[in-house]
Amino acid sequence: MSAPKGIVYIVEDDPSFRKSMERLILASGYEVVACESANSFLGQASIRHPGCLLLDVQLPDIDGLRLQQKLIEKGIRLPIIFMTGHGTIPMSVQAMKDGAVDFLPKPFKTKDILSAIVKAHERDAHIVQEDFEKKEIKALIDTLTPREKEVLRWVITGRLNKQIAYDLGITEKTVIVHRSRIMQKTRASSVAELVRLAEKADISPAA
Amino acid sequence: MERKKHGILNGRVKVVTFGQVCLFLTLLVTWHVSAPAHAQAEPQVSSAPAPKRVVLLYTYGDGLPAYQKATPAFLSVMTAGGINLNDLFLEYLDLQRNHSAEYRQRLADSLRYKYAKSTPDLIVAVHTEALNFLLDEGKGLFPDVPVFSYLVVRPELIEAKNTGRRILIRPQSLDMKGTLEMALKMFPQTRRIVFVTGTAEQRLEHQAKRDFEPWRNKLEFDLTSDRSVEEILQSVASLPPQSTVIYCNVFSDKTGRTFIPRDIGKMVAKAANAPVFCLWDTLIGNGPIGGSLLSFEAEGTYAAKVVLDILNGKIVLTKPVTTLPTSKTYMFDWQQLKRWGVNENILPKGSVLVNQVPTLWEQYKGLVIGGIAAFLAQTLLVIGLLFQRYRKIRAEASLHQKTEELDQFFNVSLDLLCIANTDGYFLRLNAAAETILGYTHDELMARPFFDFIHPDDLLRTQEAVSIQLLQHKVIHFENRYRCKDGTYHWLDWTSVPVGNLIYAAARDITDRKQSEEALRESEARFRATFEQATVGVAHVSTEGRFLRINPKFCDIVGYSPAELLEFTDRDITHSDDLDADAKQINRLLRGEIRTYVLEKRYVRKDGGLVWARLTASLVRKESGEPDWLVTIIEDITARKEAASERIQLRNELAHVQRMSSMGLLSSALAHELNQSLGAILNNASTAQILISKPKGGDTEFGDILADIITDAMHAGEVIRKIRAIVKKEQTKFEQWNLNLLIEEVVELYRNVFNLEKISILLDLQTDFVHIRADRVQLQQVLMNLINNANEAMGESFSKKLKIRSTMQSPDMIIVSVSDSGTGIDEANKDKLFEPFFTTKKDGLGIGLRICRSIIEEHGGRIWVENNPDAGATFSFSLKVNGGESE
Repeated sequence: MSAPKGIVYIVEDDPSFRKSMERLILASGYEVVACESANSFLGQASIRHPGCLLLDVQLPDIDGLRLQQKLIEKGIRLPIIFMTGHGTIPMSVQAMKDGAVDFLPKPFKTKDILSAIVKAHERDAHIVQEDFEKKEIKALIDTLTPREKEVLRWVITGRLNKQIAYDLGITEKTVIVHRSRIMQKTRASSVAELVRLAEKADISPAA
Repeated sequence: MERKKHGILNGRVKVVTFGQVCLFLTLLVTWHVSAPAHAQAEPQVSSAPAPKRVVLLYTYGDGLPAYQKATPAFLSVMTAGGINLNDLFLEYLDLQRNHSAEYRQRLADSLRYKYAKSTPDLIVAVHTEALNFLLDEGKGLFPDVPVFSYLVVRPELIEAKNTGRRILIRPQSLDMKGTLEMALKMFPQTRRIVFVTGTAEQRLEHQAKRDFEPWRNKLEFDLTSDRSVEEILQSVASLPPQSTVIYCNVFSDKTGRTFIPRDIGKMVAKAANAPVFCLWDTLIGNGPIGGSLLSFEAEGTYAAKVVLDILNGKIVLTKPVTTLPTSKTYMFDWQQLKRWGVNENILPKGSVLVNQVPTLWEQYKGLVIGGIAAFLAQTLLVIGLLFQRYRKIRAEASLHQKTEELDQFFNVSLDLLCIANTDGYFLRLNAAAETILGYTHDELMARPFFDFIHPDDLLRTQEAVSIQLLQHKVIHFENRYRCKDGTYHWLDWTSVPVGNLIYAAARDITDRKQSEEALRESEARFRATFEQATVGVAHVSTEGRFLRINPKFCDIVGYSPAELLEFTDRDITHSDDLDADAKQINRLLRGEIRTYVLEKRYVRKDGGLVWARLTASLVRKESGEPDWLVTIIEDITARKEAASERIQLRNELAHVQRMSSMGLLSSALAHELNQSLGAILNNASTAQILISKPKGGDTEFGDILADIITDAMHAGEVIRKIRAIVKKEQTKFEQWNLNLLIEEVVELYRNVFNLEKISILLDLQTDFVHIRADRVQLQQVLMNLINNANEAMGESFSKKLKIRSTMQSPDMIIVSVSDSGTGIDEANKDKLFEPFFTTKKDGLGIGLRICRSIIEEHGGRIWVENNPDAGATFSFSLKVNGGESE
């Protein structure tokens, strides 16, 4: 068997449908984890990537949209493909706004679902990649001292060293020293890069 | 003192009769004794067409004692027989004192001259010589007139002279024998008989000798015909003992003198020292003792009777001479009997006693007796009167008591009692009269009773009164009397006429008349009701036979009355309904039920069926036994058809409602279909993928295909459910597991609940409970309720739906659907289940109405209550057996 392309999580309470989905996705070369309820899905030890979540909107315990919220809360970032036996437009709009990959009313064409999965995986990979990057950057930034982090925050505002020194109440020289250390630690080559890095690391500018 | 005008009783009270009799007797006795007895012969008015005339020729002169005795008797009988004295001509010929031929001749001539113009109807000759005279000198005297002669001696001598006359002779004969026998009877020791006659009585002496012949040897006879009177007297004066004298007759003696025999007899009797018997009644009382005498009185009476008979034609003389028998009379002088010591008892019966006044005492005995008798009679009268008085008092008392008793009855009687007269007036009335008629007695008796009678009844009443004049009773005669207050009362009369009076009793039958009238009216009304009722009415025997039917019933079943009366109820009942009918009748007869209602079919004469609603109840006899049934039959064919139509309409409406409530469900069902179809699609695609792969998904194909089939069938189920909901079906009751029915509905709505975020709680306590219900309709109810609950909770923050089922009792289930919605307005709680009531903007308003109809058909009720916290609970009850009637 060739290496699985990724994992697909399915949460579907209808057993028959769940089985059919499982079968289909397996036959399409993916790994499948099929849960019958949101809770059993949340009980998963870990989420593997690239992965995506096939989620029925009307679930017995909590509906799909709420699960979506919960995952966001929990920081589990899996692309979600919503399925529904009966679609209503408000639902899909909301779902999409919250970052669903797609919203498919049953019965859906096989190619539709498979392409959605591919797209989801891509996004997931992308996210994973991004996350990885972010983690690296964060690691780098974590090497900064608090003072340095503070200076960083001022630097990415685009202010002159002089200004920064004034705002912080330190000498310009100190600022320059901090700046060079930051550049060094973050391996950034330019202020622009710093800005990018900070952004990635969710560091907001000082003012 | 009489308080009442008339006695009630009209019986005869014989109180006075005894007294009257006593009085009469007293008067009779006193009058009879004190007054000389004489018979007042009333002059009779002769009604003979021509008076009969009789000429009597007497031999001797008028003063002859014989004539003095015979003639009055003769005359008395003649006048009693209707002969007037004027028509009797008595001629005394005096032939004994004048016996010269010239005298006789001249006598005959003078008689001829005297009676020249008037011929008598009969000639009576008294004594022999008159007859001889008539036959001799009087030959030409009334030759054709019949002759009767009495006191004739030797009638055989008359026969010798045949003169052409018709003569009837009553001879006289002297009963010498009888007298002698009497003398011997009275004086048995008699040895000597002196027979006294004069010279002219030779003949008599000869007769004596003949008559006394039997005694010739026993007695000594002394005959005196040849003596002078003095000698005779002498001899009788000195008779030896054991002598008896029989004085016969002395007209003349030896000396040639003529005498009156009676006087001689007197003298002889006086002189004789022995009892003297005689032969003629002229001598009795003048001394002789008596004997078997010739009674001149009797002869006179007898002669007169013969004369009357001849005159009346009873005796017709055909022969020249006819001789009548003779008779004798025993006569005795009572004083002489006493003188000679003769016991009266030896005298023959019928003997006449004369001179019964021997003593002074006895002379006045009559008076004394009369006086005593009068006194006694008066005493008796007094006693009688006292007794009568006593009886009268008793009778009065008894009468009084009886009268009182009867008065009580008279007045206590509720019926009107009265006495009236045939003139038309009440004479007496009882108290009831006033009570019934209202008038007082005075008012009623003041006017003729006809005045009070109803004008229409007047003529009949008058006829009835006339009938009574003929003394006929009248029974049960009814008429109307006017009462004081102006109304009329019917009276039923019975009356009895007695002479001029009418005794009557009347009963006030106004009430009876009214009840009769009322009964008639009621009968008529009943009949009208019965006959004209617009429902069939039939009276049926306990066996089911028709006793009486009305026209409507005949119409309903299409048979004529005559035909129906031949049938029983079972004969015309549809076979399917026979059992139910019979069952109910039996329960009725046994008394388990008093009445029953049954819907059944009759088979009409034309074969058609008619649905009828039969109400039956039982009529019992006085004893309590079932007698017959009253049945009312209503033709409900139209209603049945309408009902079935109605059911049909209702089903359609339910269907419509089902359809209209589909909205919410359709998405749920569509969802399920989508699931199934989606699964099928997935599986099929999977199969396609696997086919293109070289290695082994063979085992998978089997599963895939199996799943496809399952999903397809599931989809089919869903379609079926939908179709069941949208299908228009008749109500069909089957056994269903209640829990399953409910769960099915809940399942249908699962996705809805999910979508709407409704939390559903099922509390089904009716495990294993099977009910008889129409599945579709019952589920329709649940769906309706769930739909409503869903809408009620539309804006609610917390949506809780609870469905609960419990066993209220062994045959009743309660199902309730509770929501946490807005609740129900109290004012609308009852209106909810009415048609076309809705609180929804575009609701039809028939949903709950249909639910109610469905539940009621299942034998239950549906209602709503607001929850204490939030929302409302709709509940309905169901009968386990679906509410089918028994």
